[in-house]
Amino acid sequence: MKKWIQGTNAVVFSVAVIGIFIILTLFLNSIGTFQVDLTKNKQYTLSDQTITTLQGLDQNVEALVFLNSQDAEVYTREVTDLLAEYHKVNSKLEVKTYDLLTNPTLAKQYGVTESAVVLKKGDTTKIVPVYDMFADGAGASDMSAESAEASASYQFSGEEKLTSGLLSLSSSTTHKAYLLNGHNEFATTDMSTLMNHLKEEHITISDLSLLQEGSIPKDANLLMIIGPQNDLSDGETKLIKQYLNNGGKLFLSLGFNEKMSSSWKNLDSLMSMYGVKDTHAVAVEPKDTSLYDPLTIIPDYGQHEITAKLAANKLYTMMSLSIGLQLEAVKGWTTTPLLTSSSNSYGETNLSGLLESKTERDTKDLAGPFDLGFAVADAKGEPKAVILGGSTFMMDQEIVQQANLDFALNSINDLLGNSNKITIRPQEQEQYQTANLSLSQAKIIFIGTVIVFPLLFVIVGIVLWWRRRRG
Amino acid sequence: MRRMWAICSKELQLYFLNPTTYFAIAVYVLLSSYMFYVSFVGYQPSILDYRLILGNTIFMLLIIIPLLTMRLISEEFRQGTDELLLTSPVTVTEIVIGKYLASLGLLLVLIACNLVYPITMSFFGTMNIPMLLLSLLAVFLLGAAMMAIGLFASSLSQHQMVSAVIAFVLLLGLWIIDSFTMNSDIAQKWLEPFSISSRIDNLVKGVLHGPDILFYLTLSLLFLVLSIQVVERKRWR
Repeated sequence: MKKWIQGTNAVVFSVAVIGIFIILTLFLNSIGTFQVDLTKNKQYTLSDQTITTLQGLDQNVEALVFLNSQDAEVYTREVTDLLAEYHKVNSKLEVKTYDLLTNPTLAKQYGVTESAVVLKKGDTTKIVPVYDMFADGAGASDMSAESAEASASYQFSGEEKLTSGLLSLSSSTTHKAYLLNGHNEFATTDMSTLMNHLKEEHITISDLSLLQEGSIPKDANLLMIIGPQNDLSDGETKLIKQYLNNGGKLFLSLGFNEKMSSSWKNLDSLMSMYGVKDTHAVAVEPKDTSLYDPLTIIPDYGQHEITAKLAANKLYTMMSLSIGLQLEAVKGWTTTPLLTSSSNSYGETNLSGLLESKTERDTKDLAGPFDLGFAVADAKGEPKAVILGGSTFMMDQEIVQQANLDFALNSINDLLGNSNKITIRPQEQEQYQTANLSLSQAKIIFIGTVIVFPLLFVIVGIVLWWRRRRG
Repeated sequence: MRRMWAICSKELQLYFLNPTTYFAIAVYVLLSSYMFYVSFVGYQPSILDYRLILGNTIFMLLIIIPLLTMRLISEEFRQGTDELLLTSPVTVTEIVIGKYLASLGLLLVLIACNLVYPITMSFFGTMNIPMLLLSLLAVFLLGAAMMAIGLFASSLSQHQMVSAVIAFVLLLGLWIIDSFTMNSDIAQKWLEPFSISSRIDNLVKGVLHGPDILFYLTLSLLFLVLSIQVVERKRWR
């Protein structure tokens, strides 16, 4: 009887322990990102934008990963590792991995012929080729095992591509923005990175020549003027003001021009509508306080939704050749500084000297600090305009620096009412190191690890066996 | 505690004074080294990434751990020394944990052997130390859980080979559990968390993922408790 009770107790106890283990494992598994990322560049810490996008998934999304087994492991694992992190944030994103060569029918169904991720939501699919996620190094052009592993380094932009893919699946709202031309503004080709990102966020940009069109199209959600060299004509200004008074929104960023103090009457009047005064001086940060050249300023952020997350994460916007602005409050508008130069800065008024790289401070120069950008909202708090002192940070060669891209996209998204897209975007990652081994080094490694190292244990084993036998 | 250490120390002596242990380690090292050579030197230029080598070496644990743990308890049953142990003042918990700690000691030796590979790699460039340490932690946690399963299997039979086979089957089942779930979303959701092989993925990529670490700890604990229950049964039978 006693044995029976003890036996039953042991069985019940064992079953209970197994049950607790199963429940605990399933529970812990559902917690998701209860983790610390110890990789060099926080490679597996998802960006703000990715987390927001994943949390916003309202229905199941499948990520079908088709991998060619011929591709190098170092590449393909980046994609699967990253998607595993996505799954941790929201289990609605299900990841399924297939061998491209053994599942040709399924791959064909989605039109996949090379390693790719197919994002599928209902009947909508988006294909993100693995090839597109890698840049620089041989890996970008050739994914075969030998040559890919032979590449010295590569950059992985998988998070950026996959999150954009998810955004394009999730978002159905599109916005139309017009980029004014005719005043030597920046062309879309100078800002292709920014334009591509706007496109991925469903913001369509079209060029607009007011001289040709004669009016601002009715479908315009936003008017963009980026880097104008020459002033607007009176007629154009009238049309723009009319558009703005009828509820239109403005993204205006100035571009340095030698004659701006005398010839920017209409541009100045446009800004003054919202209480922004152009000082016509270029903000200069003295050499002793600047890491970069004196004309490149790393401004402090103001208190605004556009910059809040960037400030919290210490990601800076780099404004070069920016015109100093000042605030002159106008009734009916709330104008909030977005970027401010340091108190050491000054406003260079000798613009012809600036062109010859002369930036000595003199008595004619204005004392800093300056605001380099403002966000304007109406009485109800609705975003109306973003006015910036400089535009070069949006050009292809500069937008990749620090938070320039985030700042530009956040500003535009804020104007368009896309407050859920005001985030920090994924950064590219630097990858592994390689070494070239000579034939003699390879031989030493072979002899050392494959022959000598195991032999040491064999010798110890034989000695022990011998001693036992004798003993 | 003192009695537990005495058992641990006795088991460690049995391990390290036994030529078979060294021959087993030699086979493990030979295969691991060959795999390291193929992975590291085989492709040029070599990639200084310990993770590329780790996958092969941890698979070796699947074979070597049943061989190293098969003796732990079943040998006591076979020789009849279990009666001596069970009638001594030592508790079953102390016996099981003592033997388990000894197996962990052996596991540390295996991990130390594995260190030769990243050390060799470090002569050719800078290794990513945090990722390396996490990878070693991953091997230790995985190995510790596998040792506990091996110990449990050893408590089930007095025949060492039977114990080794049981351990291998249990380990293999938990190793490939996620591959059973390929075609079923529901099975994947419920079974995948119990895969011991895929649980190390986070650690080896450099992410200290809380649920994975707790999984290995609780899995080890589970099989230790089950081992205690099995040995305890002997006492009151």
